[in-house]
Amino acid sequence: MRRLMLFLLLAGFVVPAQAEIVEVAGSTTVRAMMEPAADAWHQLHPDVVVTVRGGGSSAGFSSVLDGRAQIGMMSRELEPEELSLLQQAGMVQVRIGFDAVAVVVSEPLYLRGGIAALKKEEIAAIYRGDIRNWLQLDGPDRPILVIDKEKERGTRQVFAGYILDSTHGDSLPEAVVVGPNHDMKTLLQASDQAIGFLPFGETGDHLHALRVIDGGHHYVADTGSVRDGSYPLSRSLYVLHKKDAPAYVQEFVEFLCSPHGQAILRNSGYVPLQ
Amino acid sequence: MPFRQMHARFSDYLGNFVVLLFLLFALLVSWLSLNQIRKYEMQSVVASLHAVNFSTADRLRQQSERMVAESASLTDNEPLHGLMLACLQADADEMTRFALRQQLASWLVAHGFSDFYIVNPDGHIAAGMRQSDQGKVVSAELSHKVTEVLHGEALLTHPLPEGRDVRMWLLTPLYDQAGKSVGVFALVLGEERHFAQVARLGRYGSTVETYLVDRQGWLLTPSRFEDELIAGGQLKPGHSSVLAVRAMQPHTDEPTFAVAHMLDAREGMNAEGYIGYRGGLVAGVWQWDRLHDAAIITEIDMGEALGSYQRTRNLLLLLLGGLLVSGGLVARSYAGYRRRLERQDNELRNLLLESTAEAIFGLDLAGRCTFANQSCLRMLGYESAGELMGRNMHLLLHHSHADGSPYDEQLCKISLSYRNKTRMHCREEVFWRRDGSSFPVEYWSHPMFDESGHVVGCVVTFLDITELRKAEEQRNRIEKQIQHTQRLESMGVLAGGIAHDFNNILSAILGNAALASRKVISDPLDAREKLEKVVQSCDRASVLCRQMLAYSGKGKFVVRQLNLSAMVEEVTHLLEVSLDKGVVIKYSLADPLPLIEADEAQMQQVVMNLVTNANEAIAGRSGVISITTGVMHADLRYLMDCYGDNPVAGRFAYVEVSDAGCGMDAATQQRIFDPFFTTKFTGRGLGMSAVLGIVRGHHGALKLYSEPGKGTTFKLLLPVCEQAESSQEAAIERVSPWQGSGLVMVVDDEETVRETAVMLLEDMGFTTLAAADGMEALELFRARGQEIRAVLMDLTMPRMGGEECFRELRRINPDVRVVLTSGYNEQDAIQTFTGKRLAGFIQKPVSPDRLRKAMHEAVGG
Repeated sequence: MRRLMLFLLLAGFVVPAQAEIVEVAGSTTVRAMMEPAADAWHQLHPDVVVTVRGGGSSAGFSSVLDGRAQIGMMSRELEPEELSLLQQAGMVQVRIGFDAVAVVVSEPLYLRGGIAALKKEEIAAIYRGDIRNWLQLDGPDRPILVIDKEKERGTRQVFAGYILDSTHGDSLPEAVVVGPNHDMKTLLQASDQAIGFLPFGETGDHLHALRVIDGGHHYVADTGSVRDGSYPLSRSLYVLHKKDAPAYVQEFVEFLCSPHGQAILRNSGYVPLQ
Repeated sequence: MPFRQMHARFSDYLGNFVVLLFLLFALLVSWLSLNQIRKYEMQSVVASLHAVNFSTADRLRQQSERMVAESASLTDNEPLHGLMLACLQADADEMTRFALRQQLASWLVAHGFSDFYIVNPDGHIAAGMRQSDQGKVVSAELSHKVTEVLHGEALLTHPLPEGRDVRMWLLTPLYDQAGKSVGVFALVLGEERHFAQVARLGRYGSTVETYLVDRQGWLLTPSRFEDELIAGGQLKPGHSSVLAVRAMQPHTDEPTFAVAHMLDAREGMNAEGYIGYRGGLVAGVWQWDRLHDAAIITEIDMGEALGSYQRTRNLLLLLLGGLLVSGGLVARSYAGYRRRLERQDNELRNLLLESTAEAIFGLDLAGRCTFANQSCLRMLGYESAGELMGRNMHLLLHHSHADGSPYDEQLCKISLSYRNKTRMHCREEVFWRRDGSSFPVEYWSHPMFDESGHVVGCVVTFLDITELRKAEEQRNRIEKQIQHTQRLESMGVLAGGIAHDFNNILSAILGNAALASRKVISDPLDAREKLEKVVQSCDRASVLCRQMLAYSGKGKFVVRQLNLSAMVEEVTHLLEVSLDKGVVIKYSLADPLPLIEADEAQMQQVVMNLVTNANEAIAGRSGVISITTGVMHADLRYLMDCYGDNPVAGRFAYVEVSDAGCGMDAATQQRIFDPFFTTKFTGRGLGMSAVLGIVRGHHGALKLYSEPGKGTTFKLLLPVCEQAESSQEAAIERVSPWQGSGLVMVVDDEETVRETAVMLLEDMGFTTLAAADGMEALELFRARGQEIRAVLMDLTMPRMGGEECFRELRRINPDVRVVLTSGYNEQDAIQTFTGKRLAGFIQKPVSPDRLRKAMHEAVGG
């Protein structure tokens, strides 16, 4: 009865539509802005549904390559072999914004422990296990809870590339290794002795970015220094797609670079292209 | 009210009633359908709520079980368990605690926990993620739960207040190697593992939410509508609704229906609607979750629950309304179309009615006027149809006959037409105008029938035939004049013929009389012979006169009842001797035959004439003459083709004489009855004139059928007499040798007649006295009245006619006996003497026998 009624009511009015699905996968850093962007795009184009998965920048690349996703998210530069694969597979890489990685310590250390700026070398020593107590850095007498990220994470590669001089540089074995940025934040907030690193956009809310002192120069993450590349712990955010991707996929990528998309990116804590 | 109008009004009422009935039926069906739709809709909504509610409960159970298992996997892990126990030791150092922290950190965040504590049985924190928490006492609520867990099983707490936030804890007891409870391993649930996260999955649509409440009704998961609660003053801005809002009906101490009944049974529902904690009407389902000691409630605003129903209802009502409106419009335009057609029809009918010169009006069964056209109004002298409508037309225009006598409506032909369902036509009546004058009309009345064949009235069409009547009268006058002229013309011919014939006869009489007078002495025998010739000539003249009278139709008839067949039989010998050789008569006489009233001699004369003519038509050749008698009914149409004097339709006895002779052409046929018209060398041409005269005199008819070369048929029709009388001999009696006596005065202006009469009377034995006219007769009567026994007087005389003289004589002597003589027949002559005691009448010429009879009767004895 109800079906019949619904059919009668809707038969004349509803034009059946096939929803187009855009699958996006990759960097969790980029995902932070991609999800609201996907929602906004769906609002504008109800016939297009954008699904966003994480997995990291490398997964983003490989997903597009093998066709599991139409758009890949990356928060690091392409490796040389990735670059050649990109060209072979007929893929394009589009920069949609910038991210900066900030070094973060637990709030009690920042506010009351006097840990507000660290030299690049000091941070490296902590991550290599050479410094194990905040007391060695004129902080409180607490062992340092080093929180690292999985090596394939874009944020870690940015961090390690600069601090450990190698994108895949090892940290001390006792370091607590986490995956997503959210886990890093949880531990940094739960602890009163931890150090970690987060995308610039994820700081704030009891998570304070340290000033990084390198060669006597104090680097503070802000949009200007990120965009002009002067902030050393910064990186570009990219999306990848195949050149022959359907029009609705390319339109979504164009949307990400449009003022509307860039506004979403800024609100997600990232630095827009302009 | 006329039946047609009543019928139309009834049809209108019936139509409205049917429409109303249809409307009520449509409303009833709509109402029932909508009720049914609402019921199904709510059943469907409640089913969805149930599904969501059970799914939520299931997820919560699964999540709890998983977390307990996860926690147990830690406490069962030997190195970790050892570290935990070491932390509980009073002398535990910081590095032990840091090692535990390091080992648990990544596991915690990877499993959705945000913090951990190792709590002493006395509520002190032995270890945690923060070094600074070391030695602190947990909150009272947590401490209470810790005590509860110490000697029992792992426990998932409700959200517990922690500053401005709430925290949920998974508490697992820690046992030492001896199995003694030494503390509690407390895991802080990450927000994604709070009840709130699972309950959030139970939200859909715009108002469906699933939330958990504790036994007191406090919300254990945040409300979906915190903004609304803040706006309604039920929640402070910036605060979570968890533990801050109770599921109560706003502004009362009453819990919501769901909360009031959550402990009544394992599960419950309310689809009728109740006041939710936000104050609006909601439908909900709930169940009591014993594992979490909380009720899981899923609710939907009634507005949304019935949204689909309301849309359907609105659409249905819209459709119904649209249907009614369009139905109304269609009905209206159809009615308009009908009215237009009717108007055109009426206009056409009115045009027809008003343009015709005939007057037309309609009547209902009560005789009241239903319509009248302009011609009708004009003829009757009315201004407008309204003056006639509804009025009894019989009383108005048909109330009296032309002579003023009242006309009973029951006998009125117009009312008969609709009472007898027949068409009536009349042109003998009059209609009365408004001003009281009448006019002759010719009218037709047609009954009117309705669809089912019942009479509903009649339509009367009439014409004023005043002018027609005038024209008819004028035509009759002209016809009479023509007839008169024709008669005069005929008279001229007749007079000429008579003069000729009489001259011949008179020549014979004169010659013989002169010879007789010369020889009366010298040769009395020759004189007697001459005188006999004179008498013969007189007889011929007498026959001639009778034929003349017969022609005029005023001959003296000796009428008696006779049988035509018998009459023919009587004259057969006379007929046969007069025929030429070779001609035979074939008789076909009907017997019995109804009697007729006729003069036998004249009838014989007619038959003789016809047979003679037939014989002559055969003209010497051999042939057959058929004489047929019979009886027949002749109607007016038949009689129209006959000769005669307006015979009346009815039964006739007839005698038909037909021959196979030369026949007659049309011109001859037209003239055969003219006097003195003849086709023969001999004959005077009076035969057929006399026949027609006799036929007229007997109110009969004569049918003529003739074709040149084929023959002629004459058919004489005579009306059958209605009552058979006993055969009566009316013939002239044989003269008895009667002798009179006394003095008789003879009055006649013609001397020969007077002398003859004197001679005859004296021969009878009377003495006579002669007078030449009335004056002279009066003088003689005055002188010798006493002696005069009777007076024989001519009717037509100079100076004083017989009539005046008779009056004077009667004045002198009322008992005077006067016998009248006249050339006219008796009826014409004596009609002015009716009742005046005329003693007798003798038609001229006076024969001795008739004179003797008349005198005998006059003087008696």
